[in-house]
Amino acid sequence: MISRVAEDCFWLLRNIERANSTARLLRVHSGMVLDAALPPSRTWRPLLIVLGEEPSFLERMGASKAVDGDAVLEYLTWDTRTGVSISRSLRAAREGARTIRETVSLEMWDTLNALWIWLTRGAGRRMYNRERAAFYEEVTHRCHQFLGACQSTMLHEEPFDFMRLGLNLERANQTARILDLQYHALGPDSRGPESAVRAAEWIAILRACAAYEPFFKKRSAPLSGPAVAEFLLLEPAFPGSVLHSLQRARNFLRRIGGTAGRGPSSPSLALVSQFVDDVETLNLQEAFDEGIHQTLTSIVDRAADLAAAIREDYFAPQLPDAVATSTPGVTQDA
Amino acid sequence: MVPPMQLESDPPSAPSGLLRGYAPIKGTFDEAISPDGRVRPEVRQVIEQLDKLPRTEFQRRRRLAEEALLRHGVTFSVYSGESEGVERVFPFDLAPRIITAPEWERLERGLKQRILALNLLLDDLYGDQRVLKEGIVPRELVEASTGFTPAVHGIRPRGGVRIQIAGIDLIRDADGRFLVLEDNVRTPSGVSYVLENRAVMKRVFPRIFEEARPRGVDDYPLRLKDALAGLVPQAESPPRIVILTPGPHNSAYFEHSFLARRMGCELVQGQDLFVWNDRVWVRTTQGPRPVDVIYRRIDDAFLDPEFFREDSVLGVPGLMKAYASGNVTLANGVGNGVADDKAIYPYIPDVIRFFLTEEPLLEQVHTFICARPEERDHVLANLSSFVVKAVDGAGGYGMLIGPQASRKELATFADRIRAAPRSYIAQARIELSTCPTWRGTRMEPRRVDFRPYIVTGKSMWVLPGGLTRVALRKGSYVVNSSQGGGSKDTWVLAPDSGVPNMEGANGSGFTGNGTAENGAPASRNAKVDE
Repeated sequence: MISRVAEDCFWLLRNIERANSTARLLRVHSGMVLDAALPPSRTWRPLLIVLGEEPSFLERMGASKAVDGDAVLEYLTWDTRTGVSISRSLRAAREGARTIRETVSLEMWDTLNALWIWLTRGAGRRMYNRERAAFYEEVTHRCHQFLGACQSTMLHEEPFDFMRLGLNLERANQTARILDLQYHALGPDSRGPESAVRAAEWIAILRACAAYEPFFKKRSAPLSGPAVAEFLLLEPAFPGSVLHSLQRARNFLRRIGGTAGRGPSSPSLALVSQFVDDVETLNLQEAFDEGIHQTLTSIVDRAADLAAAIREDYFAPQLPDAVATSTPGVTQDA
Repeated sequence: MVPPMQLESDPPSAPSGLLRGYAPIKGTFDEAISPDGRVRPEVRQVIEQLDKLPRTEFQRRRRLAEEALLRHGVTFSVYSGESEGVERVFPFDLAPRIITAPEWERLERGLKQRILALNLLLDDLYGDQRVLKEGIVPRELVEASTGFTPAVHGIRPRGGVRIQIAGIDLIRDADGRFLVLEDNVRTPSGVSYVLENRAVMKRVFPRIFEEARPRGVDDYPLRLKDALAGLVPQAESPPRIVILTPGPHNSAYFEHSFLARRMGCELVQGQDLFVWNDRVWVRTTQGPRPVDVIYRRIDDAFLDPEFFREDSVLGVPGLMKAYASGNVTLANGVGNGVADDKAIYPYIPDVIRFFLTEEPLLEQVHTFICARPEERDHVLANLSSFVVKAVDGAGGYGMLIGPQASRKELATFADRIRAAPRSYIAQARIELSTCPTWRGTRMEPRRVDFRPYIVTGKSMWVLPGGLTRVALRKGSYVVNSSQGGGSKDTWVLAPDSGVPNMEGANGSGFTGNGTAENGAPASRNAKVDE
């Protein structure tokens, strides 16, 4: 497939998953704030930090707004200039889908276009003003509808593989970021005994990863920080876990490599395989002793490196010199 | 349940429902209602059904149609300056425009004849130039045309076809005669709306549709694909056909994407292609792959920065060399602009006579060429009664409608004509025909034009339908979407309603007295066999 289109496919589901994840996080966090008596400085600001938006928010809105829940939610939901707001992610997704409309399925397009009309032509904003939780649920619901349309109506071949690759990479990334929220909310040195406040937060983190019910289905141990972290990082059966997402990403990269005739030797596949191995053999106890924050940061960084390697392998424009070596039969008279 | 058929013998009466009180404009041909207020017998089958629809029902269906177009993203983007594009639905009027079978049969033959002649004209202008030597078309007009591209002289496109896709703009005058208003043989657009409008009409008016059974338009993309594929010599594997778009910011991107989907082709941007060893390649995840046909939706000037505009980022460096080497088909050909130049248009009837030795089947609008002193003086002296157009203009921009212009506008335009006479032509304002068009609470007559599409590969095919554009503003003669125009579905009625249509009438053969440099006329003859 055309390299540019492959890149758009890769970003399409990344953007949808980002909007989905952000919507879930904002809904859950807004609810959690009501239960947990956190100091104001640690209520909303951690959201900006884990989403990588703290510097630009402070610069544009001012520090006083960082403790103002309405301002933070407004920013992360509607701001058109920030990279991660829900509306910005959905705009990018919709624009991407429009650009590769010939590649996405009709059902995907209809679903996404309906979501876009809902969001931008008044109905979404009205719902947000009336009942925020319902708004975020609706975003999540519509993103799932889109992902379902993708799974069940796209041809399961190369464009689909790039879409799912992007989705899984984004999931690993988002799960690591959300897990990191705990660190920023409580601060690096608050490794005290498990309190009720902390329990509420761990539940919130599970919910923000859509992992609350899955956790209790798979684990009988009492709720604790390490148990939640272990689940979100390493549970192979949970679709949002870092390990599961990376394994899926590896599988899709393998399939793409096969289609592209590159075999198992592509740099991006080597990188993801190493990544999966490292996560599988992660010693959680050690990670916790050293501070889980370091581990999570490294996961986010390595996901970014992987995306860069994928770009290099498949999306970067190839030079004309590459023609002679990579295409059989080119030397014959044109 | 299908309502009982109207008996042929019942004389048509004045509409009494949705169209009650509809009054055609005096001195203008209305396509549905005669001057005496009765439904025209030739279109009664459809108009009487429409008339029976209750007002509220019509309104409801109108909303349904609008929602469907929006939901499916059938939009065009309007960009101004730096701001983000605003997406709009191309305004769509639900009352269909009807063309009867005999009218269509005449049009179809005339269109084929015209495209045949235009293709021969281009061959000649970029070959022996007999039309110039024999004085059929004035040399100075050709050489001054912005579309004339001497650099493609001697390049013979594959299959001898230069106009794979044409859109000819037609109007009907006060007597109801179809006249050619202008030719579009560069990158005519709008066909996606023909197909989308039809899909909407089937949804909202299934009953009327079933009754009228207009001829189908859905096979256009496949016909086009077959035509383009047919121009690739001895293809062993299916040829790779791509559609080249300027990108998602182009206002016609919807159409480019639509055609890619329906033709099953890849949609590419300039950056996706490169030229190596005089062949065109597309960058894929599996490495470069050769391209056989490019249906390009970008203008000549942007095609190849090595050849045309150096600043073009839309094009592909080296593309013209690949084209000249005969390694890639470009649809449409390069340099076609000279054939649809409005200053060359007045000579097309003579061009038809010259190449085909037959009389033109379609009439056209009498045109004054401002490049000629005596005609210019006549135009300037009577400016308020003329429509003046830029010779290479499109979209209804840069145009003067004398009878509706202010004194100041007339003066400004007169200066422009004096400054650059070659750039303008003038025509008497034609009273464009009208069709019933819904205006909020009732049907009113609004002026329309018509763009049928002609596809040429090894043979020539005319889409039985086309884009009807309608000037929605009262009193307006300008149908362009950028100027408050909308569109209508065009229903070409089958010769014998109820019987599936068989295309079969033989058109005129490719009888041009050839100009092939290679002495192999067979390879260039686009046979008209449908």
